[in-house]
Amino acid sequence: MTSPFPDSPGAPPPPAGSGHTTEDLLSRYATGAIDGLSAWSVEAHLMACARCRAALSSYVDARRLARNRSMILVRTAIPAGGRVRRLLRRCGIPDHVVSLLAATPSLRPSWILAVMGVLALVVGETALTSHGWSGHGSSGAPWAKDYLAQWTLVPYLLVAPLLALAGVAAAFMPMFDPSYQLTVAAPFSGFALLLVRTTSALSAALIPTVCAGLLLPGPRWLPAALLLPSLALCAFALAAVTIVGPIAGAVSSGVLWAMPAVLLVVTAIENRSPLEIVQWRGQAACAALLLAATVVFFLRHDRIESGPDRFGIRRMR
Amino acid sequence: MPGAEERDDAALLRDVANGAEDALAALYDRHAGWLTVRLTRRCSVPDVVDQAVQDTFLALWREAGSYRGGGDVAAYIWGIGIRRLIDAIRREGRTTRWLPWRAAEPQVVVSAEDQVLLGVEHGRLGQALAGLSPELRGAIEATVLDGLTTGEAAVLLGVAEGTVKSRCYRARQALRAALAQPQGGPGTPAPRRQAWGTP
Repeated sequence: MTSPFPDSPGAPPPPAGSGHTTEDLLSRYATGAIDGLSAWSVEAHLMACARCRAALSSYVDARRLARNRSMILVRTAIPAGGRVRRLLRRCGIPDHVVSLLAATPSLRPSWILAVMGVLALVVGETALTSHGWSGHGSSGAPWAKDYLAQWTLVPYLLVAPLLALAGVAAAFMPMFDPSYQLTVAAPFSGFALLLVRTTSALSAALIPTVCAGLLLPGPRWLPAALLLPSLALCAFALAAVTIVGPIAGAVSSGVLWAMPAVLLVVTAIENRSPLEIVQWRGQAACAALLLAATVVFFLRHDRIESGPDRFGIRRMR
Repeated sequence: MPGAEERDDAALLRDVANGAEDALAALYDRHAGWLTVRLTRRCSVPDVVDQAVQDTFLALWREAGSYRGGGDVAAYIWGIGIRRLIDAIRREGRTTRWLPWRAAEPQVVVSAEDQVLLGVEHGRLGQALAGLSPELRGAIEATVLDGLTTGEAAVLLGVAEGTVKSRCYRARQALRAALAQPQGGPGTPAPRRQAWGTP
């Protein structure tokens, strides 16, 4: 009797009659055209026979294997984190996002640059808004002065979140960022990565501003109130990226930001009230948006990687 | 020191534990192919299988030191791989519950000749197993051959944990009944549907 398992005398009996060769059996196993019992025999044999394992590998698409290989090597280059990272992973944040975030604090210059940039931005915004605000109550044609102050704030309000993005992007330029090569190789759209980093920088900047709001006199809650819209917008964009992809996500979040900004200024001029966005209603809206976006992101976090090759490779079977 | 291609699996695993990337790459080249095929038989979604394969070798990279020797490296890798597959299915299942995880049962036309040969060569156990329905065989495969817990098998098969338990129970009953009855001779294998019983 010719055995389909030539090199192991103690192998299980041939599953499907004599006359079938090893190659035939393996190809039927690989393509799925095999009955359950023979498949079990093949699997039992595979565990003991390196030659058949190697022969079976030729039935897998080589490009698929190569892609997984490079993904593994990229992921090994990122160090495994400690307890915090395991906690984040358990919360449902995808492993590579945790990796890219966890890699950030070790890249001191870029990280500090990003957080300092965001803080500087907040200080600038606070000064400008306070100025516009104080114009409201000052003597001598308050209406006209208010009007002017509000109008000068329009373009500033529009670009404020973009400034945060630009600052973070600058902080992670190749000259500052030692992990630049890694991020180029990662299967991650650049926009999504920028959003993840900006969100982390904004969250980090929120801590000192809230502390300052609690402890220091002066503008009190204004800096934190200015950070929240940016954070909400970034979170919304991240959630949008998981649903409609990076480009449409960027456009939709931009539109979302521009509409209330224009509306706010219009109502501010009509009601002669200070900026609604830093009032409780605006803040509540931002917090709600942030919460909703966070929920969406957690539900769809595995859709964040959207390189062109995610759908472009040939599938087995 | 010989190159990574010539060393055996256990030596490669030791090198991986010491942080040698070329050893991991060599292990991947040797084992990723069959692992991909075997996992594809358990789960028909290529993205999930790819994720499981990647996670398997990352787990090797991080926890290669936990390999105690003794057992075969391929079996060790399979043990990690099947659990990473279940993790990947769990993660994916949270967003898309409707996906059919189970690889489609292949439509194999078995000739009467093959049927006889099957019966002869596998003996009574083979006949009894061949007589099981695909559902019962899947439950046995996951719990006995793959060594999964009923909870893990439930994720893999896409059914409730209680269903896995009852299927295993019914499969055991069917096997016991098939093995207990006197064999009808080598030329007359049991009809395939006999052992399924009534629902």
